[in-house]
Amino acid sequence: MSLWWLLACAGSTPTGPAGDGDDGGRDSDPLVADTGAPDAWAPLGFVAPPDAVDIDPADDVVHVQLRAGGAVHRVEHAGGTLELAGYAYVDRNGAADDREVLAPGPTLRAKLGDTLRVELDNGLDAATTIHWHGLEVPWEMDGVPWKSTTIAPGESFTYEFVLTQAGTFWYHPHVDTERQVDLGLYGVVVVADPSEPAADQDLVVVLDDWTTGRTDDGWDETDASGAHGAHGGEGLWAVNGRVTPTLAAPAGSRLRLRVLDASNTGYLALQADADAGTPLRLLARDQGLLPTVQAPVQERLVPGDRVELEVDLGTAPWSLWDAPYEHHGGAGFGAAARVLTVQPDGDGAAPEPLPLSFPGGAVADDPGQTDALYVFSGDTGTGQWFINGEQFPDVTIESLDPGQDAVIEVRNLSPTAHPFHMHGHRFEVLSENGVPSSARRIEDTLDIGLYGTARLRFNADNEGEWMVHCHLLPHAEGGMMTVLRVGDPL
Amino acid sequence: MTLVLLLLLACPAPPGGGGGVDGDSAGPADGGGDSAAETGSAVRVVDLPVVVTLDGAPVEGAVLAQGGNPARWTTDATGRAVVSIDRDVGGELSLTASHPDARIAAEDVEGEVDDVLRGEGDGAVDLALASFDASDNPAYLFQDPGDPSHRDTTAQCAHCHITIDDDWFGSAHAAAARNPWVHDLYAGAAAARADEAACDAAGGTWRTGRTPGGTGDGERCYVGAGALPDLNVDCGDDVACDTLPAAGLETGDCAACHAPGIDGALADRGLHEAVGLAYDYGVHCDVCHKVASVDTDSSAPGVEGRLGIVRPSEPSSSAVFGDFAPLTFGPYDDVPNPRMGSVARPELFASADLCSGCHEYEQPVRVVGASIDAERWPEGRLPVHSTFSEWRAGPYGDADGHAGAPCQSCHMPADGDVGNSADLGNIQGLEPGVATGWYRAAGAVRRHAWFGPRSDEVDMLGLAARLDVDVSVAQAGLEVHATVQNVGPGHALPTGEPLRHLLLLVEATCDGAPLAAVGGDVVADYGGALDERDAAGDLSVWPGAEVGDRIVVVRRTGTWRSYRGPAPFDGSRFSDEEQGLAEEELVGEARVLAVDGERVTLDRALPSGDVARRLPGDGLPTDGQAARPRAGAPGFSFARVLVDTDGSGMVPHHAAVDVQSDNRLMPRSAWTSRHTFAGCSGEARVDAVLVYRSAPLELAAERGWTLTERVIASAWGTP
Repeated sequence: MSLWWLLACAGSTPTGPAGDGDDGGRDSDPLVADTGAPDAWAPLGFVAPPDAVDIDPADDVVHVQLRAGGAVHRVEHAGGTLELAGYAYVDRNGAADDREVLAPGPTLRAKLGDTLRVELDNGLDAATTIHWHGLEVPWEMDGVPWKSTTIAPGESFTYEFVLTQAGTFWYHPHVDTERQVDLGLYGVVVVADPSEPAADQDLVVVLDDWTTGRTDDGWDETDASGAHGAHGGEGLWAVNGRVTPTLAAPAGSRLRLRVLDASNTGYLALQADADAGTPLRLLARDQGLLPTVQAPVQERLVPGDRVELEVDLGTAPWSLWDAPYEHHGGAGFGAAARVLTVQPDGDGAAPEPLPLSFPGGAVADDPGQTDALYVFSGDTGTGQWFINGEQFPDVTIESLDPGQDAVIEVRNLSPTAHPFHMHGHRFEVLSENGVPSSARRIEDTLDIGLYGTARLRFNADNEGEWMVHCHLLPHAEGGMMTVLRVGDPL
Repeated sequence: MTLVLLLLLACPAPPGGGGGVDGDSAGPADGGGDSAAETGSAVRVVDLPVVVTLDGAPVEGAVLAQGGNPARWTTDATGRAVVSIDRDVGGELSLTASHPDARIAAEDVEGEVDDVLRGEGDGAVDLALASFDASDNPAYLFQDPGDPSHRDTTAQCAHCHITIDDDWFGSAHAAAARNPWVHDLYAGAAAARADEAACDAAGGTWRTGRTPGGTGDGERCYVGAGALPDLNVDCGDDVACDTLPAAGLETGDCAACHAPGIDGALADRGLHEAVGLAYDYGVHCDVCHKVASVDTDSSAPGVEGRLGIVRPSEPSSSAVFGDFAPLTFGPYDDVPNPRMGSVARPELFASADLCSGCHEYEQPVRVVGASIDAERWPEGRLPVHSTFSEWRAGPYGDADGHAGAPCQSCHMPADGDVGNSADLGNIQGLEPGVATGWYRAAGAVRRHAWFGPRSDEVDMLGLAARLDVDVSVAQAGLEVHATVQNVGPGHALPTGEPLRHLLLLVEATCDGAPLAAVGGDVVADYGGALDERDAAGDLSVWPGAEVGDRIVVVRRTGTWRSYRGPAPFDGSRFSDEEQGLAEEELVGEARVLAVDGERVTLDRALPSGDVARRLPGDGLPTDGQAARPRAGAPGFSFARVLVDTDGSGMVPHHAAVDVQSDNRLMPRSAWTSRHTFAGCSGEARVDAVLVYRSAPLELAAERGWTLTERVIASAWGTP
């Protein structure tokens, strides 16, 4: 009798995820035993994760108390509701009715210069951490178990750091990452720049592809179903847990959509109203505002990537679509699928765009030298993934001096694309595939296509031993991760 | 997010029972299935009990698949399995069974599924496999792969496998048998010397010989080394042995890999027996997909030994298929189309073993009258092509049970644009099914372009190496350290054909003007020179010199470098001397300022040394420019140097009697060379490039080959 059968027939009692592989009985601390009947939600209505409650009255401190535990996720779509056992973050101070959306977890909203303090209680059946993806936090706050400890089940840890970057970031575990993120542990951090005009609605739009891949032995780490797009979409792309929801918004309003690809392996090729070829109004990528507003017809998002879109809503509906594309570097088969629809309410005319002050700026020069070279290799068949022929944790650590103006070169010699992600530092993309960037581009996650290259420049001003890895989480788990040392942090 | 489904539907009986209807079926017996259920949705998964027989008896280990569904089931000792048919999978509802000893079979199970849904039966399915004749049949004629201009019927693979055929046709595999360089080295000829005058000018002989790929003879230019003239007595002087039948000749095993599609016997075939498809298409579809096994212990290359070719023997059931029943080995276990006659070999076709059939070759000393140094080479063979063993010893190899990343990972990546190897989607009006195949999971179809050093689409060489220069000011002038590292390939750099080599070239300038080199490492002699002479003589007399030429003087130190190359040149067997890399250092460099008859005026006095070489005065090459002489210039060289009976190096491998040295760069390994340039009181700058050449300049010049400098890495530095 398979584990799967046992789980499937266990009734509605939440259990630990099957990733344990052997008994399925090491229950997580359930956060939500039952969220009620699916019809408690408006059918296919857009829902947003709750904003976490700030319990510190100080204006420049955001103090949040989170708990990670077991949960049952409901993924609504037109054909019904998927019920899936997993993990979730909840706000210990949030209202009970705020727990309808469990993945993504609560949105942490703060402003530039604030201190963010997050207490995390681990109610999971496994050790965990929080990594602050894209934020330049002190090394000991980065949530990686490389040289620091994890949070054991039943234990707590408080993360605290000052927010020095405005934009859209996210948080997720960095231990047992593939499984824990897969099970629903992720949320968005919004760092607002008080000097920017506010949109009428500032919404997080977290995309994740939900599937039911598994084996009798537990998680199928090579499950190709995460590779969305090859067959016109194997998984279900959900927006904040709902498939193809519709957001009702007043005509004449301005929406700022903070879009995150939180999937383990799914690539997105986003476009607005595909049939009409309407360009997106792209305000920001990983690291805040672009030099100038951009209007791409299509914007590719890889796991870990964020973009900010502005929708200036008139009386015509606006839709976000996903065109077929997957990490083997092609479109595969299938047509573009609608991801999200914004339905105007009322008669207001489309407003003028937000009067944002885009920073401009020229592309930095490539100084020529290469301070660290990372070559990605591996194989989908063996599930073995390498950086420079090494697999984490048996890696050679490259070192940089504190404050060094450094250039990293990344090369991909493997059968899939890889989202390159570096902790602790943002970087400027000098060139891709030998072609210099046409506009200044600051990222923390960058897709490196098949046989692709990229040269990245950054100031190594954050001392620590930082993870550098592919953000296809099975690849990172399969060894495609290494360490970059800045200074002498130990 | 991949999450476990919690059923809200009533659960059926546990798995392993008979047929039934599941909202969510039990998991497959051996994992991999995905039987999802959704609340409120129609019945999606139906369990069918299946019995598989092989030659009439129940067979254990047969793999069952529903076409288009990535789940797999394996039969037990009684030949039974319960298969969960997912009705949401598109296309024909068929069940396939595969076994290593049989062609894949299929059954349409739509009726069985309907029966179960109506409650009118248990949906039992019987699948009968028949073992194929595993002996090779020399009477079989290899099938036409077709090409982009020639794929009108299903007799050609390209008719359905359009994308794969396009890839393959542009690859080196397709050109393996018609490669003119290969034929030049086979016959001792120079196809580029197309008339008698050009032949005479190259020192060749214009006479009648076999036209490659044809069945007749013609006038050709014969010059230099060649497998036929060098390995056969009485060949090459008055007789062009290529006009003779290959039987009885020593042919050097070339055809076993370069023209494996020659019909008939697989062993001892001459390259000139490759005509028609065997010549036009080289390593083509029906050759690779006739490989049933690989013997990695065999020393006989390609189809002569390592590759276990099985051509079908059973009579064909249809004239459409030819005289014999189709038989195709491949990676998929769900291809039941009788036109293919597929037998599943998923592990073999995903492994480096398959590539090792030709990309690993050790040869005996073949030259008439010569013998191998048994003390140096106790195996009795010289390593010639060792890409497979280089990979195996490297970080991506499969040594010590490590799964690694096989050749296919880099050279045959997934094709993200197609969902089926038969271009399903391009074939209008056909439903996915037995005839066309089903859509596959992303990444299941591999490119067949075999990206390598000659690929236009992908600059593999550009991803291979890292080059760094470190410049400092020393008493003697500018001190430069140049480091070359193999950062990309899982094998040595370069690899494969041992004529390939790398040249590191280093130059310095002072306020933009060239700085003379005064010491340090140099490019080896196979970098080529306009001419060279004993440096002990009067260098002010140099017939043929031109204004602007560079004269470099090199000293042989009499010492041997210590290095770690591919085995056995990794220090495990040989001393430094036996590893054969003699140290040479530059002692001076000058430029020709003026020429008066045979007398030259140099811009600086040259110290004495062992050899002086004249080089063109131009600077570092740009990518793709014609190769120029570089021997003795500041730099270094990386190659496996095969030597002939005269002790000459970088000879074609058929003529080799020893391996003098092999300092090619193994994966992740690096080499740092040292160079000294004259002092600079202005702005000094050092530039370096790493150049890949596919053959030695001298050999290319002899045959009239167009040899280019492929600049694969560059770097610069200042003090």
